[in-house]
Amino acid sequence: MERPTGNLLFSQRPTRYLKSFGALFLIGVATLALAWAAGEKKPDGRAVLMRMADFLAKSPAWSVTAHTAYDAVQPDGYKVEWNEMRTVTLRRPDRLRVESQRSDGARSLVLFDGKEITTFDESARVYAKAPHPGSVDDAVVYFVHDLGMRLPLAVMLLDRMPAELQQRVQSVEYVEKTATLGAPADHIAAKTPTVDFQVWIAEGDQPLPLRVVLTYKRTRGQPQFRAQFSDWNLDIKPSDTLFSFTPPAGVNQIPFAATLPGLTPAPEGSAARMKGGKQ
Amino acid sequence: MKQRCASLSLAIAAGLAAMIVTSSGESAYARGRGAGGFSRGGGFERGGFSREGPAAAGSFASRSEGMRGREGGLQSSRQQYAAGAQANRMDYGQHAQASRQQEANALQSSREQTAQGLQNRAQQYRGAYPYAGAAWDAGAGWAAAATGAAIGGAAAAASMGAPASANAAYATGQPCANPEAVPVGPLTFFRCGSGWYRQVYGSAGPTFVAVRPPDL
Repeated sequence: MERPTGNLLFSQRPTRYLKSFGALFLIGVATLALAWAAGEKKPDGRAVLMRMADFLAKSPAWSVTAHTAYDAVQPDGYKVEWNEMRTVTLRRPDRLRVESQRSDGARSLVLFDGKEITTFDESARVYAKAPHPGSVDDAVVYFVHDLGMRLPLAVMLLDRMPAELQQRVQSVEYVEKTATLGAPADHIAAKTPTVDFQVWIAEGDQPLPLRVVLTYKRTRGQPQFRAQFSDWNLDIKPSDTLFSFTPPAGVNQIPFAATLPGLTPAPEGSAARMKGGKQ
Repeated sequence: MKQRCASLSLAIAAGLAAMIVTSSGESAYARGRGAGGFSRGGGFERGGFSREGPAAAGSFASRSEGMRGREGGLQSSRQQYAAGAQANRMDYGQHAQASRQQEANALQSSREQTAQGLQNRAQQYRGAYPYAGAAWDAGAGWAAAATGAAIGGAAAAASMGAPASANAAYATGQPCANPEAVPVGPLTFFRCGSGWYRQVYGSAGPTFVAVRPPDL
């Protein structure tokens, strides 16, 4: 039997090595490409947003502290930021408490006990209340829409939050993953016909909003409302007394402006008008 | 030599004087703006800067062009999108005609899909809800109180005979310096000369509104 010559030996081995190396190289490249593709794929922004809305809407009770700020564009163009701190306690289906403190120290309270909605100004020592039996959804919409009262981020209190967002949001973009808010979060940007907003939503099994920025894009100066949330607590069992209101001594009841007959909302930028008829 | 020294001293003195004058001018300007850079007086009478504005509502809708029903909003959205797409197409002058046509087709298809998707999702969530499709939190009430219905700024604890607020700036919104509280049945009116007022809870907080005189 003829033994292979040295030349043949050396000419066959490199070919085998080359083939093996090539196969391994291709496998490696393919693996890297797949990993890159998987890593680069952005989550669906709308899905992330709606997951947050669904989670919040289905949470039976929660409390949170929100440090909020908004821009007030002054007549001569200065844009001034005002700050407030709010503590919200919600117990579905029919209990709500919102404590607020403005940057100048003025404190106020909004309470709903399932039957009446009350707002109390501690500094002025006056309160107003209106009967409105029903759910938190009913009370919040009545308070904001019918009584014309201010309740920032009211949509986030509703069972119907997912529906409200679906109806209003025209487009949603996923911006990035971020870790600057104390926990990993998904940064979402969305548009409605009149307001653009961004939400930073915690990753994981409790997709809670950590920060919200609203931009009033059709208003002069494009002012913003910003809220940073902390101390989310979904494991609370607040008692009924937390949501009931007993007027302190010396506190007077006054009507809601919206219930005063003859007072009509003024067009933006003009003075209020009085209709005919006596009070 | 002495003359040179004198000239040099004079020049240095003149330079220092100019620096001092310039510096004092800047300081005066800064002082005029208030210690913190802004003043609560100046162009903003009666309590300084306004706290009012659409962003105060913190709502997901604005009254500036509120959603007049979901269909209106969608229609508006489609028109905006179409207008934007049209503008973009016009900017792509260097692109081939075939490319523009493809882009237009894609945009049209995308618009139809987006509108259909929104319609489907809205129907999925729509129920027996009186405000479905309405921007109920667009802040009409806030704007009403913010633009003149209120006579005072915020509250008037002093006028109610209640203890004054810890923060004077917050309790300055009286209709006049010494309003007279006049009980009329269960209601309390306030009289300032010939003007009559009532204290109400507006979107910006307690405030006073001018009313017609009560039947006394």
